[in-house]
Amino acid sequence: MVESLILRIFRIKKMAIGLAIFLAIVIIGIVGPLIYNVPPTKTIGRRYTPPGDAHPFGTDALGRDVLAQILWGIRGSLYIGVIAAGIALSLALFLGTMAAVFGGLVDRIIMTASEIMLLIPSILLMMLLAAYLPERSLWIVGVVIGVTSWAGWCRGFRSRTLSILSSDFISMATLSGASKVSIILRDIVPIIIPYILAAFAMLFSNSIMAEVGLTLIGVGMTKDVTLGLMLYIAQLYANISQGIWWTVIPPAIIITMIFLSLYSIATSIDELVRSW
Amino acid sequence: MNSSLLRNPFLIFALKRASVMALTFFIVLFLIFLLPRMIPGNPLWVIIGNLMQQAVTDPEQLKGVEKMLLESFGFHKPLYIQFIEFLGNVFKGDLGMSVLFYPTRVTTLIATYLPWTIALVTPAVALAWFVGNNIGVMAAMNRNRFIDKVLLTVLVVLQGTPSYIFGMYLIMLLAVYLPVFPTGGSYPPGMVPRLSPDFILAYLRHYILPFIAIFLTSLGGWGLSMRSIAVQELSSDYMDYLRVIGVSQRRVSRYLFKCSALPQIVGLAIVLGWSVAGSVITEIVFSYQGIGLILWRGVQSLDYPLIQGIFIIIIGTLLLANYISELLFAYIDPRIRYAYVGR
Repeated sequence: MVESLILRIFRIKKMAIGLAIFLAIVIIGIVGPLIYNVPPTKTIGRRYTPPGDAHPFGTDALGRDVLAQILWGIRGSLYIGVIAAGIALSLALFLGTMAAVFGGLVDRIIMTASEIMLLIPSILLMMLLAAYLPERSLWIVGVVIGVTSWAGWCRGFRSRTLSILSSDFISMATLSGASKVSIILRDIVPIIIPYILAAFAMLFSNSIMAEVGLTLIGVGMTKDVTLGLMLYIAQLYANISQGIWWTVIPPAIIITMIFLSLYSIATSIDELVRSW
Repeated sequence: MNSSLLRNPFLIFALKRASVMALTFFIVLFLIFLLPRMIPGNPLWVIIGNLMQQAVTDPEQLKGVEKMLLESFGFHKPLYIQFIEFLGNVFKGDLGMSVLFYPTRVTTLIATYLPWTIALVTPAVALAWFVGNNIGVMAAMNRNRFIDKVLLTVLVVLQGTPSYIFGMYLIMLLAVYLPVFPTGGSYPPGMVPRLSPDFILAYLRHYILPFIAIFLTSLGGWGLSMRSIAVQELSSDYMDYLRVIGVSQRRVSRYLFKCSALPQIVGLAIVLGWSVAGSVITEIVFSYQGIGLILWRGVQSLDYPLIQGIFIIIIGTLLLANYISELLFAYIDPRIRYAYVGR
């Protein structure tokens, strides 16, 4: 089973490449800080030392080691992705399937709520919340992003569920006395698992992007190192216009790589399932 | 007469959508009202302490700011009266005075900086719409061939890179290593904005890089959505018919563009409404003096009246753009309005 899954993944080139890049980034985020034992938030040298022997990626505006920041930053950004995507996915899945299965008033309330959430740009909502919280850690930013980004996928889950609900085996389950919750858990969720995985991948990369955006505006991360905070510090000290590339290019490229790898995974999950 | 008007599906659709928009706007206003009042302690002292830290030592200004804040927030009154007064002020178009630029009114600030943002974003998005849709049709016409794969990859990379990251790359490349363009700002520091040839020329030099950054990101999105719409359209019966009667490729792609552009036109209205919100970070990166940069400065110094005012304006335009695009869609496509009335 597992072996055939791996074989199938390798046959779809897009998915194999995406998965390889993403796993590499995850492993760097987990193992990197353990191996490269330099504190990311301590001044350990002169400011703006170019990449060299002592500091492989140079130092930033505050004389901190850029490589250590990248390793910890990847870890921080991945945390944000897990927290935010976890919250948003659970909300979307719960509300979307409930709306479809229960219908009526429940459906109407959930749909109106999700519509309002879609209309309010989540980045504004996040700015509003964050502007009033002076100190913001990984958890706060992750939760804020998660709570504001479920609406689109909630509608997606609802329409997927509705199209399944008209099948015969759902009528069978209802006739045999299965409760609505059991229908959701045992009949609907297993069918839409590929869609759930794709949703998770997209939510994950969108959350990482959202953190970068929020932090660059100045309402995101203040406490823990993330890729967004690195770009924020670089922007704050005008590194870009001074041509200090080593504090800007590496985090920017990693952010793009995370997006591209997750995008190719999400768009090829469908292909993987169809090849079964 | 009266009953036939009530059964007009377009009217019912318009009214129902308007009520959802109004409800959303009301919720947003409530959130904006509630948040500064939920913070423990007196947020006004935080603002004033913050101003003193930023070396605003003019006692006249501090006193004026304090008095203005106490009056405009009205913390001593009961909460519901505060809310009613807040709503009243918003609908009168009175958004209070900025703390950072005291005693300038928030509405004056927005009126000063919004045109700069619109001048930057609207042409960039419109051009990206046109070019992106044409690329999308081209990719769809050649689907699964080499050229489609190349275009698809480029479009995905463009869409996946936020415009502010493009902005950073562009500044490094074309302003630092090859100093062709300035690194930021909207015009040279010594100049005064006016309609003279040398000012416009200087403005354009500052304008090109942020324009390209917004254009490129927007391009990816339009191209990708157009490609997927056009690919679906290609499998329809009338396309088969065109092929059977031997219409030239050029004409097929022209029909394809027209038939697939409808959802894209509606999308353009939404995106233009979004663009003010979407360009905030790009403006920060280029220190281009639009509404985004001024919002950033407001956030940095906790200028609540300014933040509130800009939020209200941005969300107002956004809801309006959405509403207009929905009406447009319902006007063109009868199925949409009937879906809201039932049979």
